[in-house]
Amino acid sequence: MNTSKVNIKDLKLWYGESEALHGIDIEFSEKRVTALIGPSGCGKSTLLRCLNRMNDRIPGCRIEGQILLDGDDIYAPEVDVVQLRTHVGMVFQKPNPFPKSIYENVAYAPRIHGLAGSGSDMDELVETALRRASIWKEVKDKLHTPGTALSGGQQQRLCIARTIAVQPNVILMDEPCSALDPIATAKIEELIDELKREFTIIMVTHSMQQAARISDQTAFFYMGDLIEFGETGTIFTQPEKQQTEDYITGRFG
Amino acid sequence: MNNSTQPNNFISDEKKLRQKRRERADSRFHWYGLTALGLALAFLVFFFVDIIGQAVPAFYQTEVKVNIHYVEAAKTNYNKAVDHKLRRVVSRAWLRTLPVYLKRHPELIGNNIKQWVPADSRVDQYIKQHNGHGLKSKYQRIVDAMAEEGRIRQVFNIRFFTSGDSKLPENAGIFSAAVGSIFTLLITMLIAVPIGVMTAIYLEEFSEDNHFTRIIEVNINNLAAIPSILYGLLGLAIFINFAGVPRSSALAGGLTLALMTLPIIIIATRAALQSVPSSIREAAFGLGASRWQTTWHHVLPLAMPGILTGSIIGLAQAMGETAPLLIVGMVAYVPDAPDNILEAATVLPAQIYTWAGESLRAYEERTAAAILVLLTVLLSLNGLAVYLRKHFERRW
Amino acid sequence: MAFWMGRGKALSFETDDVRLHSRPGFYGLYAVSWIALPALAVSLLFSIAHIFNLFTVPAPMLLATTLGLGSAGLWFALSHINANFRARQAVEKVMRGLLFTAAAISILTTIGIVLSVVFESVRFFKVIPIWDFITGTQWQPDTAFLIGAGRTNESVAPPLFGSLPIFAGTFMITLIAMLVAVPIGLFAAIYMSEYASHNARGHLKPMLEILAGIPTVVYGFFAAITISPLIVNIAHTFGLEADYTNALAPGLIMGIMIIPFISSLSDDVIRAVPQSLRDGSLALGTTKAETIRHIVLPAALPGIVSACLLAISRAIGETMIVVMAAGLRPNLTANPLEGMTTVTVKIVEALTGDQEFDSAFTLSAFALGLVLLIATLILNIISIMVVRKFRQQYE
Repeated sequence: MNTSKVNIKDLKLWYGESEALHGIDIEFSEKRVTALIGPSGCGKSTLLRCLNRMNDRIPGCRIEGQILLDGDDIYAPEVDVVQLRTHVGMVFQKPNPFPKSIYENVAYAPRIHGLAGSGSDMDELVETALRRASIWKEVKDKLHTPGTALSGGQQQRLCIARTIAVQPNVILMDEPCSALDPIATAKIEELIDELKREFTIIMVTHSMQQAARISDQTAFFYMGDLIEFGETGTIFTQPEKQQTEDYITGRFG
Repeated sequence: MNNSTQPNNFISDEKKLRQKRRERADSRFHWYGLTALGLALAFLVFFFVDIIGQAVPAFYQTEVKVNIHYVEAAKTNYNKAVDHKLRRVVSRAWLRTLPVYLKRHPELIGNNIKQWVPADSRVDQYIKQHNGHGLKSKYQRIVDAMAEEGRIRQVFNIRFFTSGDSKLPENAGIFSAAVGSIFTLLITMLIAVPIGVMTAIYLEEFSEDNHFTRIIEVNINNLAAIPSILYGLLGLAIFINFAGVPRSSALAGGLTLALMTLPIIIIATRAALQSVPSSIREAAFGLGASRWQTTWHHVLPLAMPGILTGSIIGLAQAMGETAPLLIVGMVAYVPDAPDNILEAATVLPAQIYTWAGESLRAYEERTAAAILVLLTVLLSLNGLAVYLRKHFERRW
Repeated sequence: MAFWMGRGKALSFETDDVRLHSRPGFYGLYAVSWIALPALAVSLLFSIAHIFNLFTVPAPMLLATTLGLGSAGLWFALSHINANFRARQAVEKVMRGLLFTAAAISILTTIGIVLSVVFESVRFFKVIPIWDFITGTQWQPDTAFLIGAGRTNESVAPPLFGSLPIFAGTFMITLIAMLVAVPIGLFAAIYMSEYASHNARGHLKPMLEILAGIPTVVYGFFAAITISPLIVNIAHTFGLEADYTNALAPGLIMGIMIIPFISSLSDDVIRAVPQSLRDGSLALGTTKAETIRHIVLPAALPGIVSACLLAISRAIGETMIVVMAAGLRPNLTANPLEGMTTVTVKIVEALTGDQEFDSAFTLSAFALGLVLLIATLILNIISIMVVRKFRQQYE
């Protein structure tokens, strides 16, 4: 049995007056890939952004319920959001490298967190992160060129390298491949498969094929409710709910 | 729950110090921003309190109750109308009007009337307890005695709004400057608004993207950044020395300000035209409307609020401008309001400048009062512009 | 009237089987433009002739010519109008021409400014060598009128037009202004764009912009009457001597005046930095301040730099504050408590009061104006280029 990493209990979320999540209960297992699927506006991205409290930045957004990371409530008043985010990293839909050099993109956060000094320690840390994001070979000769000059797929892997350089436990991915072409997508998927040895990965995806290919578990959301959650194989072959069946077979929406 | 390696709340001990430091830096940064804003706004408050505090006394004029001798001799020498020791207490500006008044009302001759008349500016300043009032101690005693007898009062200073500039502060007002400002602004408006709007329409709706258009665009940006005083040099060299427009006239000032306001209006109008979505133009073209019909019937009406707002802001700026007008000579001493645009005129800001340079203390409060009037007009104009923008704003 | 005549004539052609080429109104406009344009052109020609003193036409004759040309135009226009005439195209052409003329006026203005400044400057540099003007440290123009009046400089001390102390004063006051405006403006912008709620920002920005809307003559009065004595008193308590025309007072007030130039422009560019960069940085566990300092500000830097350049050009060209609060005496010093003078003060001094256009003193105003023009143009062009780079990066 897998150990539980993130445990969500009866999570409700409002944007101003409208309720976007109606009481979600779900457990994400450690060192596995969980895919969140569902039609647009079903609340899957919203849920993901709750996990490292990126929703705090949206005015009028409030939540009820609990999100436990390793048993601790991340919405407890004494929790420091900044520290939380070093434990729960995030990769965004559109690659967003900083307008700095490739090296600086990766070194930025470790330097702020004091994870390495500036000399060879940092070089090593940067190299490791880039290697683990399997982009080292492509960029090792141009570490000091702008990160924004890379191709889309490379940029996204650079963003992943940037995230793992902070050594989080959980990585959230918000449709990481939706802005990429099929070849770049394949590379990222390969990378995710590698990364799940060390990290708990929770990803939102629009593509059911992608969920079926790389996730261990899949959660199907609809209209702010969690409809079904289980092993990916089960969800895609014998879903329990009719709604899930309709969605994955394309008879829907 | 399983064995958590993290201490409570995700704070590991060895990081605590570093984290504390980062938190402090974070809140410090927040405070810098707040302080900066606070400073700027505090200045604004200080500024307005100071100006209003200085201006308010100017709206009151001291009057004294004295015996006026309506004698024959006063027709030629107005000083004869008051007791010798009170000659410095009563306003000379008022005394000077006596001979004319007596000629018109001969029946008054021989009377001795106790009446309220305006006080001399030094007395006025002394009563208002301003430093540097300049009243000699001899007269101070007289005035103190009069005050005890209740022969001194303060009334609303209507003259400030009805008379022109004067060398006697108690008689100095903003009327001629206000008329000059209106003349000048009218000329500015009549020239700058049509030309500015037409230029913007040409650039946005008619021109192709060629070399000439781009030169005009860069040029307009540059014009907007050129210091206003250089427009004064232009006005002096071209309008006055070359074209022979009379110096100090509202025409010279208005033309100069019009050129200065032009880029502001062009830029605002272009922004207004740009905000009209191109789908509207395409719809009109699609129905077979010509370029001119499209612009005139569809685009301009939609851009109108923006054009209006931009024009008001540009004119407000022109109204507060002084530097180029100094150069074209609009700081002349103008006691009477000009009748036409070729006569010597002055404008409110120039009047403020002239009064600020006067040494008599009584001018200081009048300067502040003129400033208050000017600021009130300008802020209302800008407020109107903001209101128009809010009221007619359309979201596409 | 012509409008209705043209329209009427056009309408008379319209029958059941003949359709007009253009809307009837266009025929009217066509007739109007044939009246107005020749008449206007003639009046303009005559007034130009009048200005150049070539010849002056008596008013009745002017009126007669104008009317005559107008009616000739009308007759011509009416004779043209028939069902097939393309009035719309003709009118569009006229309108386009008019708009083009309006657009050309902005060009003429620039040419006017450049010419008026350059011409008189050239006359000035004929008398005073340009090198002396740029590098001289003494500005003593008092005797210039004597030379203008025909006296040679045997018995008269030569006038000196060394502009260095004047530039130094401009530089000093601008520097003080920027020291006030950049930190306050920048931090205010950061607060408005990153910390303040949308609503608060909507109130704060217009309030700050009031500062830019206050006429400079008012600031000048405020600096001279309120701030200068304040500075003298404060300096006195520290045992320092300060002139009433010290450079600090106009500098401080000018700084406050240009806060909104920096804050509004910086606020715009900071907000133009994509939200995804902030999210990316915050997701790495950085604080808000770290995100702003390391990610947002560097990304917005070109825009901020360009805002500062515009503010500098505004400060060096500012006139009224320094005319009223700064000194008249050119003074080469590094002490902001002493009186200093600026380029704009000297321009005003030379051009108010009686002017002798032969005097090098009067002409010096144009030479100083030329320097001012060149400086602001360079600053402005650099800032436009920097902003364009910034836009390319994110659009």
